[in-house]
Amino acid sequence: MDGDTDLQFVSVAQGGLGHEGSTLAHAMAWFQDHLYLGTTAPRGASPTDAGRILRFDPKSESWETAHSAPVIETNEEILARLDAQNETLGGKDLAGLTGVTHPTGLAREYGIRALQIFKGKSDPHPCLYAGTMSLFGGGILRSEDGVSFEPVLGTGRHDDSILSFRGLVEFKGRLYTAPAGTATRDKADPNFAPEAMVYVSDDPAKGAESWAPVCEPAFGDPVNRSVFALGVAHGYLYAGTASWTRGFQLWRTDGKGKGLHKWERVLTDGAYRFNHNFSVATLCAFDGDMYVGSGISGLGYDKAHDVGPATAELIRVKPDGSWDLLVGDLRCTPDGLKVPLSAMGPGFDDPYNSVMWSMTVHEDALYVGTQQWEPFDTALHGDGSPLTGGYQLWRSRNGGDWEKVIDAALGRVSATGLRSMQSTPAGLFLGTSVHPKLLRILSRKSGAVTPALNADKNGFEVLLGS
Amino acid sequence: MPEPIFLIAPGRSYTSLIGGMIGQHPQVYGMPEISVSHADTIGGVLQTLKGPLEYGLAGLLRLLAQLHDGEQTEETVNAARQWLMQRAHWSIAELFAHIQDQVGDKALFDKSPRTVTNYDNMARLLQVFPNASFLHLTRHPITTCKSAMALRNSFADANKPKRRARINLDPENTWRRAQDNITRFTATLPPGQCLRVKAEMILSDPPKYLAQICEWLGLSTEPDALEAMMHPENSPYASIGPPSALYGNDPNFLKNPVLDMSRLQNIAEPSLDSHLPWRDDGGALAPETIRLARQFGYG
Repeated sequence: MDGDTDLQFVSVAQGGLGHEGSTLAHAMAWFQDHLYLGTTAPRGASPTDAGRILRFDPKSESWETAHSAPVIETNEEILARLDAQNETLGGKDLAGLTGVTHPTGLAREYGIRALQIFKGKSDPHPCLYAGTMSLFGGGILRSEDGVSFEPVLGTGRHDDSILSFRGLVEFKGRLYTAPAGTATRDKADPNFAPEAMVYVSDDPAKGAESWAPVCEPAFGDPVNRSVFALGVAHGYLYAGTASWTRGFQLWRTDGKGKGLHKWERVLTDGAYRFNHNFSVATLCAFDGDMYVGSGISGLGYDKAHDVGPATAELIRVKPDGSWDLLVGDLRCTPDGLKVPLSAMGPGFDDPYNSVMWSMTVHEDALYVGTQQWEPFDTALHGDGSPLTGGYQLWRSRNGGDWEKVIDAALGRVSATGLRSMQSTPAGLFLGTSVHPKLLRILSRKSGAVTPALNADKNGFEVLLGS
Repeated sequence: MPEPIFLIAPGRSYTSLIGGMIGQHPQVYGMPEISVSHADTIGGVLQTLKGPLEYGLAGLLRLLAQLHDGEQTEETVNAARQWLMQRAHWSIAELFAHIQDQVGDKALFDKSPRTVTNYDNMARLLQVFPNASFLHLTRHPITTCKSAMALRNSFADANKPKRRARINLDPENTWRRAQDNITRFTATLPPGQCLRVKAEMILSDPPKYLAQICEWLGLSTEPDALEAMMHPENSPYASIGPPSALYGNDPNFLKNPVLDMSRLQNIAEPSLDSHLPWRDDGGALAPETIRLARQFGYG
């Protein structure tokens, strides 16, 4: 590809910024000349596993905590939900991580899954909105000044079996979101919501009453089990679903009219790769087209639904609804033979790249960050050889030609996912998922732990490329 | 010389019909089922395809008879058998080279179901032809199994009670074993060397999807080439053979090789939890079967 200056990455946050259980730098936004970072402590099993919103001042190179979830007293229902979540997350295999008991209090939210700047009808100026993950029921926070956050959709004010809201997206002056995950005593799922839905509000400051559905449940097709991603391109709002039976669907609407929007199905059956294109993991507009990254839950294999191992693909949708396969499996489709234009198979030719986990545009190039689960595979099934792998960052200026910007997480094998990215005047920020503690536990049988991994600190890392 | 094309699929996956169509492309030489991938030498093939398995030699005998003598008669088939016995020491690679010499610059095309009964069979073909193309054809497991049982029962002795599917003959197990072998094998191939496609999709609109397969193979997609593919009955092997080599393909196809579009366009894809008519215990498809079926786009 045409050469440009290589980004030099430096670490600007390590160890989960004071909380090692915060393994996931989950969401980013650029607001009031600061990088805002939404963090998640996926265990959510103690009062300290709090979702936080941290902000970074590039000038002073300093972080401050803008928000940390308050602790709320638990009750029998919430503890039952916690038990269900522990079971989903791995039960006894992970018991050593936090020594889970039944705490008397839990952080109201244990994660911040989405950040979006938006000016609703009641907002005096653009505000920062945050989608939360909570066993009490996911919600949405709002901040006018970037330092104080208040719930505008939260516990008890809506269906509290919804674990979280993600994909906060502005489209034609309104804010859209999709529920993600389920939190009930019978079922805990970090990704699949009770129902595949998209909601809209033109004044989210007004709370639950301001939100309305804009699609039929599951878009009228029960194979759609959840909406995994929202995005905007060429005058359309896109919604990508997940289905463990048929593979994802991709829908879009021009948002016109009142009430339920008119939706057009753009892709179905996982773009004819079926359920190995399990979900739309991320969406990003670039150069007038919509880029669609697929992914599968778990470590390349969705255990709950027995799908995979599967590797992620990258697809480009044009304004007329036609599409190109950029990275993935050659195949016959009703839309013609699809040959990967990059000449790379799924996962950029790496079978361990199971999710195209983040995408953003920075300095006229499209960046894609992956989840790469090779270290987990080696930890669980290896022969004792040192762990290898880690997330990758890829870049393209035309969608067809790709170069690897970061390989093997810059040598930090415990950094298995590149979950969030934000282009800013200060450079390109990368938010990672880092799990040395988990890898040490999983390596007990294979003996793959190295001194470097033993010394590695748990918790997300943030990098700045400039 | 062009690289060969191997259609890999469990039996009863419309391989005869679709293979017959591909084999009629002007740049392709569609062979009957030659069933040689399980051995290293011609001698190995002759030693294994004898007795009750001798029917498996029919395709190779018919092919050689046609290529050597221009016709398939009892005499030319016997001559082909003699020819093989005299070259028992030949490797399979030498046999393929001989066949290629006979057909000229057309791409050899084989669809022997025996190929997928063992992972090593496909690996052996790849060793001989590192750049061969592999077309992985799928069909819904339930309709595949129903078709297998129908064929099996058609050969059963009418005076004996109707055969029940023993566990080791359960057509579902046969389907799953073959698909397991295929998916393990194709996972080793670089992108582009294998194309997986649903038979039901091809048969819903053969010109459309055959053109895509041709595009993948680098074959002409001109109308006359596609039209030729719509006539599998024009193959010299699309008929019952002489007594010593009756088949070499699906008997039903050989009896009626003409495309029946009105029938093909109504192929059903039943729910994966449908009743399994070959089972008398009310059992359902195994989870492993369902997992593969969904991966292939069924259910």
